Amino acid sequence: MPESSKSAEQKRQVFEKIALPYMDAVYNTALRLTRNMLDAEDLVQDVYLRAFRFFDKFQEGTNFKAWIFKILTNTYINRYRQKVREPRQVEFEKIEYAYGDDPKTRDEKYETRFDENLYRELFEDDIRDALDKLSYEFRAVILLCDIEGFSYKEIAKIIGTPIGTVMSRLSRARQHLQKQLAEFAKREGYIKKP
Amino acid sequence: MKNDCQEIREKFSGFIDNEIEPEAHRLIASHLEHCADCQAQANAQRGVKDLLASRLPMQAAPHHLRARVMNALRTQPESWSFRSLLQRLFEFQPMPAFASVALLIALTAGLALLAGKPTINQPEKRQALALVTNSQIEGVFTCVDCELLDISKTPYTHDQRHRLGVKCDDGIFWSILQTDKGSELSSLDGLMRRRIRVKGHLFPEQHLVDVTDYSVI
Repeated sequence: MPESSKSAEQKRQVFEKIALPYMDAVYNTALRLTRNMLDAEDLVQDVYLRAFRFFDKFQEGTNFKAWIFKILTNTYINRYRQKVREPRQVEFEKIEYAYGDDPKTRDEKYETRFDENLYRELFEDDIRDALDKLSYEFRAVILLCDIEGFSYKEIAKIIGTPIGTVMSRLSRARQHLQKQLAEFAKREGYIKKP
Repeated sequence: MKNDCQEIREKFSGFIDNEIEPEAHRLIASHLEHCADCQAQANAQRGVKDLLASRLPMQAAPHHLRARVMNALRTQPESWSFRSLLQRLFEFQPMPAFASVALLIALTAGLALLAGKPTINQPEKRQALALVTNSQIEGVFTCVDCELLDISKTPYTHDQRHRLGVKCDDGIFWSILQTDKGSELSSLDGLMRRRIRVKGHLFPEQHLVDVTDYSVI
């Protein structure tokens, strides 16, 4: 075997050893980003091929998971986000606080109270649906922080924003989620209107 | 709601995740002691975080995806990087002077090729038989002929032997290689339309499975 294909083979083996254990995490996040199994599979394959192609650029000893997740979010934005399969979501910049000074929302104050017992009744599908309703910017930070357990510093690097933005996006995203979950609970009859 | 509530709430996530400076943390904590609205908000957000961590269904990558990716890593053209191109040139022509000439020719040829034909066929690589060892699939034990007759609502039964395989939830039909264990599985009675789990080696391109073990679920 010529020297270069031997080293290419070695490179692939090293890559697979490091990268394949993260496939479940990459797939799960891809699935929540695309909300579609077929797209998620294509996205995962793209991510792995790209990661392999740029594997020389990965610095050994640094966080591989954060590195491959950066490729994941970039690839998603570049290739998949254009393919909008659903009505456009609310512009993320325009979303204001769910519980601002708007008097119309003041009487729904019960929603802000978080009762664990009520939420326990929610179906797992409800939680997933609530997450899927968030726009990409919010969904991404939730997935990276609450599901994958990245630090704010890592998330900032992955999505390419300052840490302060990560923090405010997360705060808002959780607030939106909580409002959505409260609505589901209300719909299912777990929370009664006062 | 006071103005500073807004500012405080922007930092709730950092407060909950312990991602802010101790000073800012103290500030928020003391605000929460006096502001019931914010206190409720903070609790609610913490609840949402816990809910996500404990109840959001996680989905593992399907087995065939792992196989597909591994196969793609093996069959995709080797990286186009400048470095690998150089490496290959030096391998064929180890003398630097020749190499640089060869490099020029190769680069020109490469550019022309790229401009004219965006894809290069590499049949000898595609033929590589990808195999994923010790994997497993789960699905319904199905006869492909019966299934077709069923789908087309044809009221006949076919007169040949059942052609059996495993139909997974993603719609992919895996044929069973007639090895010892595979033949054993195919010859069992009463398994039709039952859900089974098959362990073995997968050929993801051909959708063949070499059965080493199986169980009825």
